[in-house]
Amino acid sequence: MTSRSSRQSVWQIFAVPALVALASVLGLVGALVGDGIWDWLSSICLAIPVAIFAVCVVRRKAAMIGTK
Amino acid sequence: MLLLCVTGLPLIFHDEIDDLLHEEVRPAAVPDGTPQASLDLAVANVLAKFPGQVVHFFVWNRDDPNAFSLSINRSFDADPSTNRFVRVDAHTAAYLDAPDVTGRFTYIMLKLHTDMFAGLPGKLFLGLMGILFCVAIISGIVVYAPSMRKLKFGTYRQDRPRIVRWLDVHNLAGILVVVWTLVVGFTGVINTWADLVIKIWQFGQLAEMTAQYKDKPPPASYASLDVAVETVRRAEPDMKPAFVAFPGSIFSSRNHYAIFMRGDSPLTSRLLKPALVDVETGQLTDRRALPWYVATLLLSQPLHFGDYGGMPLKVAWAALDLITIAVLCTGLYLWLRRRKARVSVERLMAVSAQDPRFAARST
Repeated sequence: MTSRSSRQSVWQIFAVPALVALASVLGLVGALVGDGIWDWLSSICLAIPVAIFAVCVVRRKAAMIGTK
Repeated sequence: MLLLCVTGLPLIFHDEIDDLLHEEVRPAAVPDGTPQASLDLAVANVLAKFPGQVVHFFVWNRDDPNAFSLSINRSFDADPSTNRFVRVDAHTAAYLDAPDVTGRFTYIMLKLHTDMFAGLPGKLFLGLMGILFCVAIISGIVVYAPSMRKLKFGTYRQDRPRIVRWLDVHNLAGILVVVWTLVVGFTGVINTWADLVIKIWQFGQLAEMTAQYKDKPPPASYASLDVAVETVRRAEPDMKPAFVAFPGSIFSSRNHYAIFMRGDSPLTSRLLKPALVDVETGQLTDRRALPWYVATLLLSQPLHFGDYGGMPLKVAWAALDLITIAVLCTGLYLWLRRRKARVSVERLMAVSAQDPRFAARST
């Protein structure tokens, strides 16, 4: 049987997604209110989810192909 | 939704694609600070080139200050969506070109993306799809919690069967881009209502602003457009002209130049303020900020197009769009598999998660 401690609370499940969501909101609004540096900050904030996805899936896939 | 994501991808870069695929006449190179040409002369040059046509709109290009665009058609009764855009050099008032955009790759993508060549019903249909998309996203957030209860964030079980791997991709990618897809999805829905919102404004605020001119005869003479624009510039020193709706066009009355001004910060440059100038006397008769429903529409446009932060933002937009396509494809695959072999897939997923609750709630 699975132990109760291996279950995550809703807070734990949504901790990282909430941070990513916050970055997304900053990214979406940033470039709207400012120019120049804000455009770059916005783009970087919006690139965070893309980067996480790449690290979690693409890299692991590549590592697997490498070990074969 | 897949169609919208796929056609939307090239549209993010529509300026760049048009530049690459289509030649356009470049405006003359001029030193900084060269004064702009007379607007009246620009209009006269276009009408000389296209005799018998009328000017609906005169547009200051946001991205290309070296060229004006004039939107012309054979009459004011003609459908403005069939207007032709003519480009004029902003410093010499010389005619540049009037490309036919309707055969372009980006135009076809745009039509598929906005109304599937079906006009307003097509738009409203896609708007409805957009609402369903937003509902699906929210339900996705709700089922994310139970399906991730025993898994760490970012889990990708690469040694499991495809259905488990794609479920992981679907969950991870979906939760990562959730804010972006909700914003782009919902602002897209608002955009499908654009025609209706503009109609409401025309029959509401615009009709009010031009009410006292309702029974006046058509103007006997036309004041200079340069003078009219200068008058409005003096009244709104912090704003720049965005476009002029000519007397007789849908955004004006028969007796006014409607000069739409915009602010100069990234945010206020999206908002417009129409100022009406009597076409006979050249007097400013009324100016009002656009009502909240038009302002909402105008502000929702950049958030949908991703065109407000230069190239880096466009690249981020494209990457997020690609991830959304991955969410849709994996979601479709999971749904089809579940439909085709409901029991066996459920068992497979139950085994893979070693928790039947997980399988029951994860689709």
